[in-house]
Amino acid sequence: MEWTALLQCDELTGRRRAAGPAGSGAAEAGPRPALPLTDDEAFYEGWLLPLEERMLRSAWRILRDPELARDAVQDALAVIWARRERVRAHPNPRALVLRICIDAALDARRRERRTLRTASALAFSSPARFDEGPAWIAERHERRDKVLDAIGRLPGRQAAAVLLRYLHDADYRTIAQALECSEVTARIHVMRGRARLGRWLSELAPAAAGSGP
Amino acid sequence: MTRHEDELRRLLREALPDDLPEELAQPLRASLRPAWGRAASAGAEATEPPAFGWVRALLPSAALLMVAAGALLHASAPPRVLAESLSLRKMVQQVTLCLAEAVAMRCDIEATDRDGAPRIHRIEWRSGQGTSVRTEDAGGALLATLHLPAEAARSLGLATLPPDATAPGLPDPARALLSPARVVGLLEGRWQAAPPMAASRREVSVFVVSGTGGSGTLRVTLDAGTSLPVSIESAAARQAGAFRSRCEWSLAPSGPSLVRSGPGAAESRP
Repeated sequence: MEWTALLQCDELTGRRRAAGPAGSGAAEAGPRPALPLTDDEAFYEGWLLPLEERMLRSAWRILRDPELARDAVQDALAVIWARRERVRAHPNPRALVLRICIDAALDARRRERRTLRTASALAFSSPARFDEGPAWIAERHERRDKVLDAIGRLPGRQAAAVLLRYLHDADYRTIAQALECSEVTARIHVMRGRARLGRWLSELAPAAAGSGP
Repeated sequence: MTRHEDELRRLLREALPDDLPEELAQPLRASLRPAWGRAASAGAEATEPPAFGWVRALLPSAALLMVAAGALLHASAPPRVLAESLSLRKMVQQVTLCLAEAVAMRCDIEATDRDGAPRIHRIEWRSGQGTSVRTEDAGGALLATLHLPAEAARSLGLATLPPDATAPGLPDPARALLSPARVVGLLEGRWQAAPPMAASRREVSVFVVSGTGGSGTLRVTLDAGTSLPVSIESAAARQAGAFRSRCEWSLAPSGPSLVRSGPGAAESRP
C-alpha cells in the first residue's frame, strides 16, 4: 500500500470535486454528473470512493462474514459522516478512515461474541485446497479465533496499532496519524500490543513471544 | 524488522488473510454508497434542532446549576431551624423516657416568698411514697413541711392545682416539680433551643421552655449522660417569681447500683 503518497493530502483539502486521499483518481473514474453533487455525495466521491476496497477488505479480514463486514463498514461510515470535517482536515485521512474501519470491525466481532451468534466463517473461508481436509480447516478456524480473541483482549488503540503495523504494513508515522497521537506513543502502542500478543499466542508462534524492538 | 515481528506478522496474515472473494466483494461494494446516504440522512436528522431546542439547550446549564446547588447544600451546614427541630425532638423524647424511669428525685428550689424573703424548698419524691417538701429560710431554719401522697403528687393536673392546695408559698413552676410526671408535663411540647451558654462538661444541653403557666420562660439544663434535667430556672433572674432549682435523680433503687443525675452523678454511677 502506498502510504507515502497518501500522506500528501493537505493541498487537496477543501475541494469539492477530485478532493480526497487518492487525489483526482475518483473524479477521473467516471463521467461528471449533470446535477451538482450534494456535500455528502461529494465527500463520498472525493474521500471514500477510493477507500471502498480498503475499508471492505480490512473489515473482511477481521470478520470473514459478508453480513458482519457490511454492517461494520456501515457503522464506520456513520462514524466518518459524523467526523467528516475532521477527516477533511486530517493530515492522513486514509489512515484515519482505515483505523475507524478496524475499530468498527473489532467492535462488531465483540458484539458477535457477546450475542453468541455463530459466524459462518468456515463457509466463507478461502477455498480449501485439494489436500485440505476438514481437520486442517478446523485447525485454521481455531487458530484464527485464537488470534482474534487475543487482539480483542488488547486495548482498542493497541489493537488498531498492531493491525495497522503488521496487517496493513503502516509505518509508525502513519500509525501515529491514524491514532492521532505522537509517533513515540504509536511505537509504544505497537510494542506493548506485540509483546502481549506474543505472550498470549506463544503456542501458535513461539518465536513471536520475544520482546525485542 | 526483528524475528519476533516477522513471526507475529506471519501469524496475523495467516490467521487474517486478505482473501475477500470477488463474488462477495461486488455486492458489498454496491451497498456502501447507499449506506453512506443513510448515514448522512440519519446524521442530519440527529443534528437537526428539535422543536423545543431551546429547552434542550438549557438542560445542561440547568443540570450544572443543580449539581452546583447540591454540592453547595451538601457542603454547607444543615438548615439551622430544621436541625434544631430534629435535635430537640430527639432530646425531648430521650428526656421523657428517662423521667419515666426515675424512681426518686430530689430538687432544691431557691425562690422568694410573697414578701420578698428568700426561701429554699427542698422537694423529695420517691416512687410509690409521694412527695415531701421542706421549706427553709436563707439561714437553713425549717419553716414548714408538707407531705403529698403519691397519687396527689402524680395525677393532679397543674392547671387544676390551686396554689395553696399542695405547697403553700411554692412558686408556680416549682409546684410543677413535685414529681417526674409533673416535670414531664412541664416540659412536654414546649422546647426551644436556647442561645449558646457556657456549660460544664457534663451539662452540655441547654434548652428553654417557654409559656409555662404564667411563669415565663424557663431554662432547662440537661445532664449529658442521663438526659435528665439537672437545673430548671427562670430565664430572667430578676423577674417577679423567679426561681432556681437543682435536681438529682435516681433511676434505680438506692444502693450501690444507684444511677443518679445532677451534681455528683458521675461518682455514683456503677
